[in-house]
Amino acid sequence: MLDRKKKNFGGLAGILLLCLAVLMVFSAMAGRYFVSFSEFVHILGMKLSGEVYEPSMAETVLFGTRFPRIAAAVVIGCGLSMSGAAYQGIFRNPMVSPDLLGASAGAGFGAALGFLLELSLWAIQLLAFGMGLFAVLLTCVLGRLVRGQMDHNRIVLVLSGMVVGSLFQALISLVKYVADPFDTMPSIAFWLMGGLTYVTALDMVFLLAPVAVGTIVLLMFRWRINLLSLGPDEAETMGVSVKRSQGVIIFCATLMTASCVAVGGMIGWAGLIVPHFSRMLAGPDNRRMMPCAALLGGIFLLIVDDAARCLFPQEIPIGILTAMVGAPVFIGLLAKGRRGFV
Amino acid sequence: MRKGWKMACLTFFLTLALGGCHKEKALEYSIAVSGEAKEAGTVEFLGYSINVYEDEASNPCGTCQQQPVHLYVGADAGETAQAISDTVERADDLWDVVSCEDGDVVLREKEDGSIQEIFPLAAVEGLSLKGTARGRQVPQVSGTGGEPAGKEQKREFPDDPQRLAAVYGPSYELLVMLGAEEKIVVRADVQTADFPWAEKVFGRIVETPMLNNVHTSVNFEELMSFSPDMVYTFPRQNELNQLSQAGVAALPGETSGHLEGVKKQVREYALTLGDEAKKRADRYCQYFDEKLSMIQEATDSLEEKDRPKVYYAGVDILTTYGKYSDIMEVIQAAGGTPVSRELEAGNRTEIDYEQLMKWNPDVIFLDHGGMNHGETVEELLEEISQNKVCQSLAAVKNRQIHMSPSGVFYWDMGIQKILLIMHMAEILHPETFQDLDMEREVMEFYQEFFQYGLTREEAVKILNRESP
Repeated sequence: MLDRKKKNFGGLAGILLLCLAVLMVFSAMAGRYFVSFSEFVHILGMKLSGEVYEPSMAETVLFGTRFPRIAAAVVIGCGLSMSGAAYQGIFRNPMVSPDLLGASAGAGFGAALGFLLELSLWAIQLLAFGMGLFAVLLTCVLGRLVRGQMDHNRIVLVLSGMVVGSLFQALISLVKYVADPFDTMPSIAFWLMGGLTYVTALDMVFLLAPVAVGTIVLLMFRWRINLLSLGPDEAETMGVSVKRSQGVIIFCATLMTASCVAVGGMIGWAGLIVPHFSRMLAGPDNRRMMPCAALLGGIFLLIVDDAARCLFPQEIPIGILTAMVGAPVFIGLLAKGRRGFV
Repeated sequence: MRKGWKMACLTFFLTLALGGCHKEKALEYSIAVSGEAKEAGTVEFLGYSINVYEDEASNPCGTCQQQPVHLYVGADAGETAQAISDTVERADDLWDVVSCEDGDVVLREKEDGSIQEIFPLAAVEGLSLKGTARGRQVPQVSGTGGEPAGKEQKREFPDDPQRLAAVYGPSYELLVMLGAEEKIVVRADVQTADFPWAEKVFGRIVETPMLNNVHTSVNFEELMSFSPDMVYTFPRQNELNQLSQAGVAALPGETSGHLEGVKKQVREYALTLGDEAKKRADRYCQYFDEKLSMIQEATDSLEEKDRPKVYYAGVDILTTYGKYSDIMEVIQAAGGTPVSRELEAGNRTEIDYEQLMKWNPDVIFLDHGGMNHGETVEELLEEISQNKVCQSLAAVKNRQIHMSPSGVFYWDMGIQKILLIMHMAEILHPETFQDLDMEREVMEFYQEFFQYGLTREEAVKILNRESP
């Protein structure tokens, strides 16, 4: 019985991986700038064999903008879904998303501030990342101060997260209010709605390291998340150090969320609905669900970003699309009710 | 699960259906002309204007291409009506001509609901125009003539306002041009934020107190503390209501999708100020028409293949202007083809790199950037040239990226737009316009309209987007 399930899971993961690979190739072919299949193969062959050749427009489109975007979409999708899944696990709440403890709002404020101060793109990302971490740290400190002797650890933490989140949302509004709507405001607005337009190969370094570290650690911790989702006392009796595990998980999730927001802007919904999808496919066991969530997250955001860049000559902010796809899907999940985690 | 989907779909289609139901009736506007022109001046209607000259000798343009419609003293009702009809047909923007006979012209809006308000009719001594609107209620801006079709919504302006509030971005340069700088009691932060030239050229701008953050909202109480009797402000309904309740006259600025809008705005401003301002407005409009015809005479006949593909970026390289922006007309008049002319957008929207590469423009203009960031034009251009993706664009390869100058204000916004057209034409077609001395033009413009004598070095600096 156990073996068959394991086998099934292997099959599922394989299928998802294949889907992702096919989708990535498809995405590489799609875009406003038309690159024919033969040209595509030709350029790729040239690049791989390392031959010297005349750089062409198509080559720049592929390597300068399209490939980095595809990579970023997959990595950000994976990062957001993983942190969403981890949060939903340890907070035992299906409505939780990665911005629960204020990471997104904090990073959002950092970036908005960066635009207002006219910093360079790199500095803006660093500021966003730093502010994201700072917001979560603030949440944890507040939680500790308020909690005192009580043991309602997580509820207090969630409440402090809400407070810190709203505080940073208000700060974002303040920055928007004082920003010059002809120059600074469009950049902030576009950024707050999320988008991968400006992603370059350099950003990938910034993105890949935190997401890779976070993903690997969370995957290693996924059996602990299973136990934590039973409740702190149960987990403690089963030999899990609740405090330390929770700390590591929150740190990893925050690291991933902050770096994703720093590069891609505020992309909502992915961290909320992808874990639910994953649970439908792989069941509620985090050991199977979390790897699935990572792959599904990549697939989801890649599809949405393809739509954002191909549908219209204008760039559609990706945050709008994820919400438009996410909202009906979530209603569907609610209507389905009671089954699985919900 | 299925129920959830149904609900979601239903909500979606309901929203679509409700959105689609709202349709308006086409507006018809008829103008009845009577009398005979007794003096030189202009005939104005719906934001257009026709010059009336004393005789052929005083007409600087003759029958040149861009001003084929003009009148001479002595023109009767029939001729004037014909000229009105011709103007509308040639402009080919907002109105269709339904009929024109015996001094009566009937016009209909091209797109239902596109006309938001009707501008005053005005004519020279001897001629009289009477306008009637049918079909839909449209507010009429105050002025001579025009019977409102429905509820009357006139803007009341004080006779001779002495305390002006120049809150709207381009309002300061407009008021200077109209000779009213002395009366400005308060201005906006944005008028000097990026424009060191404004501080140099405009005599009183530095000492005039300013309101902060006007692009987002105007602090009403602070504005009132200057007790203005005429406020030139942004088209924001809530603030306009506030002003009208306080009994202060206000004129909202507007961005139009057409070049005609520049002159329209100048005339609207002049209407609030008196005769001297009207004369100056006439002078500006005449200058605008003359320079535009001079450029278009050379560019109108250009074939598509001789028109470089032009991309106009604002703020950063991927933020641009769409088909509802008058920048399309600026580029066309200057002899280029705007690559974003099919883009469903107005003044600011974002595209992605692939779209830009698909367009692959021959020439790129970059506005609203640089200046105060401490970077020189060379550094900024270098920065863009360093961008790997941009390097493959034809415009970057051929070093055809240009920073739009700004001087006292943005060139893509206010009355300096005519300079932008000339400047662009010179860049796009250097051989055709080798006689055009852009530095001279800038100097003349500043002398004529801002009464400021620039040296040639200063004109060069403005054109290079350098600080004084």
